[in-house]
Amino acid sequence: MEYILRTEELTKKYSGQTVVERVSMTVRPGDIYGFVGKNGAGKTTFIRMILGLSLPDGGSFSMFDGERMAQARRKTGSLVEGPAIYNNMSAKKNIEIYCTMLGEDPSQAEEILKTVGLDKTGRKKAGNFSLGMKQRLGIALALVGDPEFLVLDEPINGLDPKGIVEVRELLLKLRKEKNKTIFISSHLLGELEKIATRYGIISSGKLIEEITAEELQEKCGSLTLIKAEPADKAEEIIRSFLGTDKTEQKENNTIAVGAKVENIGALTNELFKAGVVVEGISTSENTAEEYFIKKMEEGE
Amino acid sequence: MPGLIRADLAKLFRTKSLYVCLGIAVILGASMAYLYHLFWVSNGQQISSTYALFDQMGMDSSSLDEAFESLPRNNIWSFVNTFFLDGSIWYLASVCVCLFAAAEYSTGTYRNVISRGCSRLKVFSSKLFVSFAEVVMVAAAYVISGTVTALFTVEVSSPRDTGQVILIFVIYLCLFLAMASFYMLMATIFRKTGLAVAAALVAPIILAMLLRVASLGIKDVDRHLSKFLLPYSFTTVQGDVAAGYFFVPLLTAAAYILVSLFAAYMIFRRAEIK
Repeated sequence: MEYILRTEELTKKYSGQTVVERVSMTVRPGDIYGFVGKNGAGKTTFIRMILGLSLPDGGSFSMFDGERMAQARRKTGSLVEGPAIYNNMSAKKNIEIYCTMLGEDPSQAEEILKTVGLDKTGRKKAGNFSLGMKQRLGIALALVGDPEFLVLDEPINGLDPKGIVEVRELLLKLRKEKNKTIFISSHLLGELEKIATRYGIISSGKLIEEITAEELQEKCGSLTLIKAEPADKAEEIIRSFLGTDKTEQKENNTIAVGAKVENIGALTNELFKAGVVVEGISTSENTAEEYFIKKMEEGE
Repeated sequence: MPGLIRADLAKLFRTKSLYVCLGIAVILGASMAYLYHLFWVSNGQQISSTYALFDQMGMDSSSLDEAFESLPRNNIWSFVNTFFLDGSIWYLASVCVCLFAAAEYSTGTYRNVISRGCSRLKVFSSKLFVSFAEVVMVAAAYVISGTVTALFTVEVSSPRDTGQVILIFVIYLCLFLAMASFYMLMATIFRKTGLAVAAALVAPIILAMLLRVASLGIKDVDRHLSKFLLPYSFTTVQGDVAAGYFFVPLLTAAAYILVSLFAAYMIFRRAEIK
C-alpha cells in the first residue's frame, strides 16, 4: 500500500475565516505521524474533516490508496476531542455497545481492556473513572474492530506522568506488534518526539513542513560556533579534522559547525599549529522542541 | 443498521429517565382512571337529581332522555379518549425522547459511529426508530395502567366494530410516530438535552398560537387550522373516526412526520458532529 491518508489542499473555513488552509500531506503505512501545532492551529479541525465529522470547504482527501470512504473509515479508529463514552456504563459495556453498533464481535472487549490496562475496572461506571482512565477507555474504543489506522487527537492530554508513559508505550506496542499506522496530534512536543517517525508542523491552519524523525535529528543536533582568524583556513582545517562538510561561515570570522565537537582541545591545537588564531568557542544544543517552535513561529 | 438499533435499544434500557417516565406514566394513568370514575359518579348524581326535580315539579322527565343521550357515554372507549385530553403523554414522552435523542450530542458519542463509516442516514433512522419505540412504551404504560384501573369502574362493553378499533389504533401509532419525529427535530436543532426538552414542551404552544392567528380569517370553525395541532389531534381521534373524518388526524400526523424528519435529517446530514 502506498499511503494510508493523502490530503490535497484540504481547506476549512468557519464564518469566512480560514481555519485549515490548503493542507496537503501523506501518511504512509507504518508511520507514527506526529501532527504538531499550537492550540488553535487547526489540528482538530483537520482531523475532524478526515473522519467525516466536518465537511471540507475545499480540497480533497483519500484513504488506503483511494478505497471507498465508508470502507476506509471502518479501518480507522479514532479518539477526537476527548473520549466520547457513556458515563452510566462500565468500561466493558461501553466497548460491547460500540462493538454492537459496528457489527463487531462484543467478545473482543476483554482483550481490548487488557491492552489498555482497564481489565480490572469491573462494574465501575465510566463516569466515576479518573481522567486518565477515561482517556484510556477512549483509546480502547478506537481499537474496536482492530483498525489498521489510528487517529488520536491529543491522547495524552490530562494524563499524569505515569499515564503519559503508559500511553506512549501502548502506542509503540501497537505499532510494533500490530503494525498499526498512527496519526497523533499533540502540542506536547517533547512527548511526540519520543514516538513519532514523521512529523507535520501546522501553524495558523497551514502545513509548514513535513519532516522525518531522521531529518529532524539532523536539523536539530548540536551547534558549535568557533571564532577564528583567518576564517577560510580555519574552516578548511575544521572540516578536515571533523570529517564533515556541515560548516558555514558567519559574520565576524565565526564558523558554525552543525555537529557536536567531541575533542575541542585537539581541534584548538590543530588550528594553533596551522597558524590560526582561535578567539572563542561556544556550543549549544538545538532541541526538536525549539525547532518546532521556531517553525511554528515562522508560519504565523 | 440492525446493530445500530440493537445498540440504541440497549442504551435506552440503561437510561434512568425511561424508567422514571414509565413510572410516572403508570401513576398518571391510574390517577386519570380514578378521576374519570369520580367524574361519572358526580355526573350520575346530577342526572338522577335532575330527573327527581322534574318528577317533583310534575314535569315529564322522559323529555330529558334525549338531552342526556347526547352526552359522552361512560364506557371504556370514552375513557381512552378522555385519556389524551390532559396532554400528559405529550409532556412525558417529550422529556424522555429528547433526553435520549439529544444525549448523544452531549456525550459526543455520535462522533464514534460517524467516524467509523456508519452513514448519517442509518444513524438518524436508528435513533428515530428507538425514539418511536420509546413514545409507544410510555403511551402504553399510561394507557394500560389507566385501562386496567378503569376496568373496575367503567362499562367494558362498547358498540365499536373491529374495523374502527384497528383504524383508531393505527391512527394513534401514526400520531406517536409524528411525536417522535417532532422530538427528533427538537433534539437535532438544539443538541442539548435541557434545551431540547424545553423546546419540545413550548413548541406546541407557539404553534397553537400561530395556527390560531393563521385561522383568523376563516369563519367556518370546522376549517380552523388549529385542528391540525398534534396534541389536539390525540383528543379527537375517536370522534373523527366515528364521523368518518379520520383523514384529519392522519393528515396532521403525516404533515408532522414529513416536515420534522425532512428538516431534522437535512440539519443532521451536514451538521458538525461535536
